[in-house]
Order: sequence, then structure tokens, then C-alpha cells
Amino acid sequence: MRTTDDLREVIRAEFGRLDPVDPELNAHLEERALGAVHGLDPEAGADVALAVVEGAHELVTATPPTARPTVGELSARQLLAAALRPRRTTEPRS
Amino acid sequence: MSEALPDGTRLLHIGPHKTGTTSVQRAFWDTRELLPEHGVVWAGGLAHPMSAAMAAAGNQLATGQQGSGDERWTELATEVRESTARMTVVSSEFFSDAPQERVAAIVKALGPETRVVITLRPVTRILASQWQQYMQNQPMVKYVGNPDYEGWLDLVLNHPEQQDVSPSFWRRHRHDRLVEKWAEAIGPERLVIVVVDDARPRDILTSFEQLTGLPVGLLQPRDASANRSLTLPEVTMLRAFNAGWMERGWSAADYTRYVRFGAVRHLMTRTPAPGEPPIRTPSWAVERANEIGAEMIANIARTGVRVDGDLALLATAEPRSVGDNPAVVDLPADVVGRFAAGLAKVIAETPARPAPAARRAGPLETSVRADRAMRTAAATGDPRPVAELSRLRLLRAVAGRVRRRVAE
Repeated sequence: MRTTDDLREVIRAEFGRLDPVDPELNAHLEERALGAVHGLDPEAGADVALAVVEGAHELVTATPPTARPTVGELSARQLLAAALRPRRTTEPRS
Repeated sequence: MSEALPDGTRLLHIGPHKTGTTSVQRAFWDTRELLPEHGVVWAGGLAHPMSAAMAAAGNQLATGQQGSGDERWTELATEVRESTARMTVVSSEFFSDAPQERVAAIVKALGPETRVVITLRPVTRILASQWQQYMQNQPMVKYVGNPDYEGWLDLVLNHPEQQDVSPSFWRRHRHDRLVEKWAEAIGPERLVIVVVDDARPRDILTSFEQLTGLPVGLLQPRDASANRSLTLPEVTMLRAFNAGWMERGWSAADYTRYVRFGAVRHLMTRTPAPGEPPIRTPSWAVERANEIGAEMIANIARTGVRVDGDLALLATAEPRSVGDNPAVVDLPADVVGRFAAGLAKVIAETPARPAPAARRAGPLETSVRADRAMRTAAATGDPRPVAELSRLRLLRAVAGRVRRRVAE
């Protein structure tokens, strides 16, 4: 007789097989999948998969914009706009 | 043995869907480098020029920008028309979706040497396969009331005139009308039907070898397991997932990228256990489909088109699995695990840059791309805070970017 613990074990194994393209994202989505396990029927299985997509939505909407953006985060156009904006920097005049 | 088509032929294979098209396309694509020495060219630069064919038929993918497929169709048609090869082959089942007025335009675009090949398979063997394919694209297809397989069969077979559920089914699989439509546009003498027999899977490739004048045996079938149909547990879970997706109002473009061409393909990499139930077609549906098949044979015979294979099969064949489907479906754990991990896989593989201009990204994909771009830049880019740099240093950073771009 299979249990939800067996299903969690299989989910861990399937996520463990993925290429580590983005381990942080994978870990977050795996956690969401495991947290959504509540049964063994097709509807419960679908809920696990839906939780993965919900987890992705959460992650990308929850990432706060950096309060102090770095040069690397901005495009050339954004850097140019920042340079031309009237501003006061903390850097001493060179 | 089929007689080869004349030199200079542009062979247009239009499917329809579920008639061995993937098998033909993969075999030609895998052999494409050997074809020219036999005077044959596989057109389109892809195993399957899907977006070009969809545009030719007046359709497009949810992930395509308006007009992007038109450009690909124009390029494909030009390549085919201007080809100097003895035989130029183009294949997509999406050509079969073309309405009458587009059929003539397609034939004209490919040039006067065009000949059309239609592969036909008994409807009894198409039903389950086509239904589960619709379920892999459910948010994009017309499917009012969300009927299960038996309900869908009732609507399609007993109420063929209804337009609320899968109206494309009979446009594709009323094979007599499909043949008549293309024969009218191109002339029956320029049309060949190849009847696909599941019991002899190599025959379809042999027919194409003979039609194109290739040595028999040159086209090699690829492992068909990657193109298998979903099992009953898999499709039952997918339908529940689709209902949840649509209830949440998530986008069709995100579904196309992450589910249809993402997680479902990852799910297909699992090997179902021997006892895992397939989708069974009830015997009443087999009988009804064969009655329709008999009508189709009579109408096709009247057109006078050349037939390669046994046309009678269209009214006598049984599907692989006949019977009633169980009311309660046992879901193997690895179906859930593989599908959920497949979603994570395709989301994680989203590139850290905006989508190309020709593609339409859904809201989730757009956000994931932006998020990944930001995280990548934060991890690998210049870490100096913008607010702490002078105007001069910022301008130097811009100039550095421009120099690097020019040097690339």
C-alpha cells in the first residue's frame, strides 16, 4: 500500500535527477511540491504540479527590486540615464 | 511497389495529425545529410517546420508573435519553389488544417511541380491518440464542458456537426473531405494517399522512399517511445492540472512553453509499467468509427487518386486497446514526480534574457526571464552601487559596455 510518504520520496528522487541549472529555484519548487502532497489520486497529483507553478509565480513576484542597484544589474541605457540625472554621489570627485 | 514521383517534384506531405507524420519527419531529418547524393532535399531546416505550416494554414502558436510564422512560411515556400533538387520534400501535419481558400494559396506558393501526399490511418486508431493530444493543449483548444474520453467520443462520433468540442477533429480526420479539398486544388493526378498500417510500421517509410526515389532502407525509424501517447493515469492527472491552470487564469502562452512543450515532454521520458492502463476505446465507438470509415473509402475511391496501401483498412481496423476505462484511476507516484520535476526543469532552464522578438512570452515566462537576468547580473556583473559612482565613472561604464558590444 503506497502512502503519501512514498510519493514524497519519489518527488525528491525526480527533483534530484534534474541538472543543477538553478539549484536555488529547484530547491524552492521541490519544497512547494512536497508541501502540496495530500493524496494519491489524480486530482491530488495535479495539486502537486500546480503548487510548483504557484511556487514559480511567488518566487518571481517576491524578489524585491534591489534598493541600491549595482552597475552590473543595469542596462547600458539605464546607466546612461543614471549618469545624466542630476545627482549627488558619495564618491569623492576624481 | 510505389512508382517514384517525377523529377523536379515538390513533395508536400500534409499529414493529417496522428498518421505517422512524426515518424516520417524524424526519419528524413536524421538522414538529411545523405539525401542530396540521391537528389533529395529536406526543406525547412528543421525536423518539422511547424510554425511555417501553421501560418500557411492561417494559424499560429500561442507563443508566436503575430506575423512571425508568415515570415517563416514565406522563406520555406521560397526555398521549395527555387530548389533545383530532383526531389524537394516538405512535411507538416499542420497544412491539413488549412481551409479551402488557403489550400490553393499553399499549392501556388510552392510552385507548379507540387505534388501532395496524404497519409491516412484508420479513425479507430486515431481517436484515443488525438484526444490525449488535445488534452496536452487543452487551454488552447475549443473544449466546452470538459468531457472525459467517453463523453468526447459521444460528441465527436454521434454529433459530428457540433462545434463546441474539438471542431478541428473532423476537419483533419474526415479524410474523404480532406482528399477532395486538396484534389480540387491540385488535381487528383497530383495527389497520392499512403495508408498507414500500425501492424507494419516500416511500410510508411518504404512508401516515402519509393515516392522520392530513395534506396529502400535508407530512412531509419527513430525510437518511437519519445512520441508515445499518454497513459490513462497520466492524462487523467493532466486534465485535473489543466482545470486548475484555467481556474487560476494562467496564460495560454505560458502553458504552451512550460506544459505542452515542457513538462509533458519530460513526463513522456518515463517508461510506463507494463500494467499501467492505456486509454481504451469502447467497442461502440470502434463500430461507429468504422462505419464512418466505410463512407470515407467510398468517397475517396470516387476521386480517382492514387492509393499506396490497403484503403479497406480505414473501415476494418481495431485500435490497440478496446474496452471500457476504469472509473477510478490509480496514479503511479512517478507520474506526479516526473511531471512536477519537469515543470521545475523547464522553468529553471528559462534563459536570463528577454524573449526573442518573434516569440510571445507569457507573464510567468517574462517574469522568470527578468528575475533570472537580475540575479545573474547581481552574481556576475560589476558590483559597484550606482548611487556611489560619479557621473564620469558611470559614463565610463557605459563606454565599456559599448566597446565590448562592438568587439563581439
